[in-house]
Amino acid sequence: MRRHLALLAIGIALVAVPFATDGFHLVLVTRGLVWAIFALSVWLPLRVLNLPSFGHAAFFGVAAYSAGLAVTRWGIHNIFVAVGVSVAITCLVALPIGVIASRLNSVSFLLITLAFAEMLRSLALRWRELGGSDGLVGVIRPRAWPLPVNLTEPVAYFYLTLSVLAVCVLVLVVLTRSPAGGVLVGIREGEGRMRALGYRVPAYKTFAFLVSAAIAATAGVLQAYLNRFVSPEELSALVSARGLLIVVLAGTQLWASVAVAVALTVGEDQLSSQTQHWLAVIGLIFVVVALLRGDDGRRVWARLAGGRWHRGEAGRPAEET
Amino acid sequence: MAPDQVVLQLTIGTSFGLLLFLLASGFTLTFGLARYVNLTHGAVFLVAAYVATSLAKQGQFVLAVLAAAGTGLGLSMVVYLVSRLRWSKLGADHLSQVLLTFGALLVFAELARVAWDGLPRSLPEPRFASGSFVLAGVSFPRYRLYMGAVALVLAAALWWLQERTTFGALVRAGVDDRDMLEATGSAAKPLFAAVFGLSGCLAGLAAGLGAPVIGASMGQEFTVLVLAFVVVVLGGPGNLTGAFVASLAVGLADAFGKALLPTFAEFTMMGLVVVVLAWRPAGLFGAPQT
Amino acid sequence: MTDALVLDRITKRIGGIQINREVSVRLAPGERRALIGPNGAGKTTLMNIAAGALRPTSGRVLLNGADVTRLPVHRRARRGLARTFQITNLLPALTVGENAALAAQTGSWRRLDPVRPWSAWRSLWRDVDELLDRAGLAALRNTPVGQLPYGQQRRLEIVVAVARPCSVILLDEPGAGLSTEETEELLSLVFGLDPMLAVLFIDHDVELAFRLAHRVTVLHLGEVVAEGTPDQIRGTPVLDEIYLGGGHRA
Repeated sequence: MRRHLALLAIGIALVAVPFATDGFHLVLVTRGLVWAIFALSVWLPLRVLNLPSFGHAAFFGVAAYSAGLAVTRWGIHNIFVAVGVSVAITCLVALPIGVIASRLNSVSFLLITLAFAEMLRSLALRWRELGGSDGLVGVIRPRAWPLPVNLTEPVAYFYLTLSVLAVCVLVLVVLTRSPAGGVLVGIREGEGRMRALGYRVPAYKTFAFLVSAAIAATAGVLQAYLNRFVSPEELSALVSARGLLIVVLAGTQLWASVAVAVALTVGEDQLSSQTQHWLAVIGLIFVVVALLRGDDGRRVWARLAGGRWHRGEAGRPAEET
Repeated sequence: MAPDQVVLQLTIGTSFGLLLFLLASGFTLTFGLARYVNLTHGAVFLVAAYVATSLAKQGQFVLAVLAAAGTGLGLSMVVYLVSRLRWSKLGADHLSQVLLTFGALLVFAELARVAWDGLPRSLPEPRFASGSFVLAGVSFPRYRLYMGAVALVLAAALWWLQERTTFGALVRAGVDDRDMLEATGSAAKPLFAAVFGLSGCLAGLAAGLGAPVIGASMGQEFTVLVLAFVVVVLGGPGNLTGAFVASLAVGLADAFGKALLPTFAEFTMMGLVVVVLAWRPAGLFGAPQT
Repeated sequence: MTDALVLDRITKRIGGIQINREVSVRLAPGERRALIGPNGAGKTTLMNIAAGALRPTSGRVLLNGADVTRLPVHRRARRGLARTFQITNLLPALTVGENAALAAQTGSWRRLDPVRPWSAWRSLWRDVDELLDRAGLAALRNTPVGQLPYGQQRRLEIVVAVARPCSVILLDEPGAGLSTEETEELLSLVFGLDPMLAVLFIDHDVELAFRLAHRVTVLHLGEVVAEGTPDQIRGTPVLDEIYLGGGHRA
């Protein structure tokens, strides 16, 4: 019950944001929501499969560039088409990575995903067609047909981002409560046992990887149109690390990631205006978080997204932990 | 590609691969023994490289390399000591290690940016190994050969250390059977410290030796780190022989990739990784982790 | 009728060590076979080979007439081969019901469903309740497995193993950590499941094995030294010879 109230409060607060802030802060919160969506994509492999991915920036960045190219080079003028195309391209890139990564142990998984993302960033820095180190400029926001809104208005774009966030949360909640979600948890708890029962474990891991890549891609598209610009830094390790940080700070609850993401984005903005060494401060935050991390109890992890699967308790959320 | 070009790229690739081995071996040892994923390694390389370039006067080359090694040693020990503040978590949980070492990487990189204004720097080749000489119609850069030779000697020393000394035996035993190592209690701490220190020292040496060729520039903390990761995963985590073979493979792939497809050099590397891991997910020599 | 399980001249060498040598075992449907022998006789290795966790150096494994020697564990599981492990291999953070459900759903495409809630799959949870009832574990449906006493975990492991229709079940020391009465109860549970289920079990309690099995295979140093009904084996001196001290181990 308490959880439902908290969710409702956050929901109302978010919807009311445009009425309570000025243009600049609205854009900032919008950016925070984009990071929240990105954090959701990192949440899936980390909390459900216990696989920390340090390479989700790759999907974020590839989708951002696709979105940018869609309006500047490929003549796409509708945001839904742009999202579709970008997510499709990103999933194509994610597929071979996912297939290979599913067969690696968790440390190799971490290293290789980071390596891939960095290699893509080097590529983006060097590839003239993508603007090189200057990035892709002149990215205009596409139309939102059939919706009667003008995305160039900050308020409209904010609500679009919020809606996409809600959809992604829904997707994850539905997935974790489904039989497939149960299998994923089983894989996390005992991969050997699941194999002995006849499950094709790598296939399930690849599937989860693709879903999370698609979510990261959606965030990337929104980022590109929010900033009207795509930089190679969207592919950097810092992006992936930020995602991990948000998920770690937020614990196991999905909704907490949203709050943490917005807070972190606002905080980072404040920080970068106070000091030019804000990266070092962020670094120190990482160090401190690592040192102070609580033990995310196994018991807590077994109750995902507030759902228990039992017949008698369908839909009833878990107790607060 | 003309034959002399091929030979040149072979030289460049091999010497770079050997340098990469120095860097990657430190990482793989820390991981193999302490089960510790140390992302700061890249930033250690960066700072050490900058330190080396600060001693750019002629005749100071050896000093520059040693200073780089010392810097590497010091910075790695800092990471180790900070980790010890909460070793119960950091000794075991990879996610915490990743967060901490990534944070340290950001801090060290920022230090480098402040101290050296974020500008790329280079180290002139030492007089005793500069210029190039011609052999069979091919022009070989002297320093690269020198660099490769020194790296090879260091690699051999590392091999000797691992195979022939008590320290090495302890490390190998610890890599094979962590539980036994933990059961010995007190022996583990100084051993871990030594391995951290050694890995930092090797990273510093790699930075110093590589300075005349690749210099020091912001961003290296990532580019160099990535190559080290690829080596570690391809060679099998914790496996020095694997790292050696993989380093050469990566060095050559890097050289030929850059020569043949300058813009898309990354694709060669990614292709290599994909092919090797599809064939052997545990790395070329990796034993499947239990 | 085709044999349920055939191990045909199984030989296993690791490094220079011979673990099994030309071991042949034929199990008819519904037969209960005890595999006994002193430590180091190669019983668990043989079981792992039968299950697919290990490949034999030479020899074949046939499941209901089909050659499954090259098939991995999960494929054999799908063809009706069930097994339990010496150390329980359940998922401790999940409940009894959830463990059983993960096993029971493997035959259905619906296990791949990423949309409808798991809890809404009524037929599955009905099957789970039935399974748990038969094993006497119904009351513990919502208890996390990690909190169960050991004996009940072993029962659950049997339940999980036979959740899907199977024709052969391999039990590796089902009585490990249990008293004789508990072991007998457990084995009776298995035998009561399906008269056509072929059971191959390892146990150190020779008397128990003689009491419950139809036939007994005696392994020693990797080879079959005797095979027959309990009465046949009881009369021979082979057991005294292979167990140290002249008497069998209880």
